[in-house]
Amino acid sequence: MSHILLVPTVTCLVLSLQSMSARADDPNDIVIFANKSVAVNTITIEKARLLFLKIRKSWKKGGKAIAIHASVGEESRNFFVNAVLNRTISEDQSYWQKQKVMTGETPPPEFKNTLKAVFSIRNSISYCLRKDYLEGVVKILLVIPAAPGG
Amino acid sequence: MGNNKIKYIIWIALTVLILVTSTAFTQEINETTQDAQESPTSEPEKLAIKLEAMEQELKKLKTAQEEQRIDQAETAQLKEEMEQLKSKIAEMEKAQTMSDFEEDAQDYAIDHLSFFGYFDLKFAKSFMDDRNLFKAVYEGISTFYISDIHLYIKSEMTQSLSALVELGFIFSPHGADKSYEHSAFGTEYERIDSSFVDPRTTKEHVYGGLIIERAHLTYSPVDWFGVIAGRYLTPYGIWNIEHSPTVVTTIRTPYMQLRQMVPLAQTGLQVFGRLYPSDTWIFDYGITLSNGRGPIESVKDLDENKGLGMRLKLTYMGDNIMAAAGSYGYFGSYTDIKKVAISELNPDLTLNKDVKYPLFIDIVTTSSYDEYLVSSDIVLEIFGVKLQAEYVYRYVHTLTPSVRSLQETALAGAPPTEILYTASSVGLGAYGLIMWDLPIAEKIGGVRLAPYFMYEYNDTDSNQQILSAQLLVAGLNIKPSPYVTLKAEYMRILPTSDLAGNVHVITAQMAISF
Repeated sequence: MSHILLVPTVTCLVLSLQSMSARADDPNDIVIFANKSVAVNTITIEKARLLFLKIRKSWKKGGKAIAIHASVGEESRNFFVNAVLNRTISEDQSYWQKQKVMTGETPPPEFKNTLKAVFSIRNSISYCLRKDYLEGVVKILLVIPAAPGG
Repeated sequence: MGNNKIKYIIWIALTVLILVTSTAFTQEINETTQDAQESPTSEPEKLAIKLEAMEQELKKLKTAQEEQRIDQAETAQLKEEMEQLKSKIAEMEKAQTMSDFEEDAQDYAIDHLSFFGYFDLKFAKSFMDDRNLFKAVYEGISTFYISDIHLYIKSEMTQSLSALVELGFIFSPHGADKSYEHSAFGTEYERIDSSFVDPRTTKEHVYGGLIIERAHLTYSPVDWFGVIAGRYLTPYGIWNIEHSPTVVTTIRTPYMQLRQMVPLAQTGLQVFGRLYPSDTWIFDYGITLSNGRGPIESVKDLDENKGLGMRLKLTYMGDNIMAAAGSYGYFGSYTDIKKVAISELNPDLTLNKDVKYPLFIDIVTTSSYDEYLVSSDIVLEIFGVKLQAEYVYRYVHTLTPSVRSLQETALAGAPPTEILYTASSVGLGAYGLIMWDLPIAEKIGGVRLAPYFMYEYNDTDSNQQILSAQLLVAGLNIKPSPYVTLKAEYMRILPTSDLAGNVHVITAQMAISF
C-alpha cells in the first residue's frame, strides 16, 4: 500500500520543487558580463563588489580587471550599486571621495553603452539590464534577479 | 290603391336591396377572387413562399457575413504585415547594433590626468584659566581659520603605472610663534611675519607655505606585488591614511599624529601587495625602506642607517560588516650633523699647501638616536556603528645626546643656566573612537548624522611630562552631501603635568572635497 502512495507523492514533490525554482526571466534582471578575454566564467557578488570598489584590481587567472560602470542616473547603475555594492548612490559617491584623498584611487570609468564598452575593452567587466543584453558579444558571469515588484 | 302602393314600395325596396347587395357581393367576390388569386390557397404554396423569404434572408446574412469576413481578413492581413514590418525593423536594428561589435577588443587606454582636493574652514573658541601654559597654543580668542588646502594631481599612465602628487597650501609660517618673552631667559617674543609690500602697487601681501605631502610613482602589475617610489605616506594606522578632514571622523587630530610618534611620511621605496584568502578576506602587506627620520630627511639623509618598516593588515568585508586589524613595525636612526670648515694655516694665515687638502669640511654628529616602534590598529564597522582604535609604542635609544632647548629646559623645571641633554625615552599613545551613523538619513533628505566620542591617552616622551595628556572629544558629524562634511565638537584636554591646566575647546568645521 505504501508503495502505491510513494510514486504519486514523489511526483507531487518533484513538480512542486520545479514550480518553485522555475522563474521566468525578468527584463529588469541585472546581467553581469565580461569581455571574452577574461578567463573566468562565473563570479560571486562578493568578488564583483571588490572589483567595482577597486579593492581588487586583477583577475584571479591574470590580467588587470577593468570595471566599467553605467552612466550616472541609469536604472542599471542604481540597481547594481544597491544590490551588489550594498550601498546607496550617495554612499557610493562618499566612498569614492574618501578613496581619492586616502589613496588617490579614482572611480571606475563610465559608459552609456556598457555592452559595447566591455566588448571593446580587454579584461573588462560591467553590467546591464537583461532587456538591454545582446547574446553572443560578451560572456555572462552572473545574473542578479530584479527586486520583487521592481 | 293603398295595397298596391305598399306592394309597389316593397317591390322597389327589394329591387334596390337586391341591387345593392349584389353590387357589394360582386365586389366582395371580386376582392375575394383577387385575394384568392394572390395568396395561396394551399399549404405547399404557403410553404414555398415562406421558403423563398427565408432564402432571401439567408442570402442577406451570407452577404453580411462575407463582408465581415472580408473585413476580418483585411484586418488580419494588415496585422500580419505590421508584425512582419516590426520584425524587419528589429532585425535591422540588431544588425546595426551588431555592426558595432565587429572590431577586436583593445586594451583600455587610460592616459588619464585628474585633479581633486579638499580644504576646510574652522571656527574655534577655547576656554581655560588665565594662568595656563596651553595659551601658547590656544589664546582663548574665537577665530575662523583655514588649516590648509590640499591639491591632488593623479596620472594613470597605464593600467599598471600611475603617479600621485599631493600638495598642501598653508597660510603658515605667517603668524607662527618663534619665541616667547622671558625675563629670566633673556628672550624676546618673536612671531614670524611673512608679509611684504609690493613695490609696484604698495599693496601688502602675505607669503604662505607649500607642503609636499607626497609625490610618488606606483607600479602595480598584479595585486600581490607593487612598488611605490618617492615620498609616500607611511602605511600605518587608520588616521595617517585617512588624514583628510573630509574623511576622518573628528575635527581634533590625535596627539600621536600631531607629535609624529610614527613618521607620517617617508622618502624612499615601498613594496606592497594584496592577497585574497577568500572573496571576503583581504590580506595586505607592505615593506618600507627610506631615509627614516632626520632634521632634513625629506631633502636628504644624514646617516647611512635607513629606516625599515613592515605593515601587515587583515580585513574582512561582509555585507553589513567590515572588520580590519593591522600593525606596523619600524626601526630607524635619527642623526643631526653640523659642518665645520677646517683649514690648515701657516703663521701668516695663508693655507699650508704642504699638507694634503689644507681646507676641508668635517661632518660632526650633534645628535643621534635609534628608535624602535610598533603600532597597531583595529576598526569595526557594523550596521552603521564604527569602532576604531590605534596604539603606538616607541622606544628611543639615545646615542649622541643633544642639548635641550631653553623652552624644554624651562618646561622641565630646571633653571635657565642648567644644560639639559636628551636621553633615552619611551613613548605611548592610544585612542579609541566610536561613531554611530544614525539610520535616519532617508527621513531627512539623505543627510547623514553621526555622533561620535573619542578618548585619547598620550605620553609622547617619558622624559617630558609636559607632553603627557588625556583627551576627551565629543561631537556630531553631519554629511548633507558626499562632498561636504560639517562637524561640531567639544574637546577637553586634561594634561598630566601640574604645569598646565585643563582646556576646553569648542570647534565647528566645514570640510569640502572637490
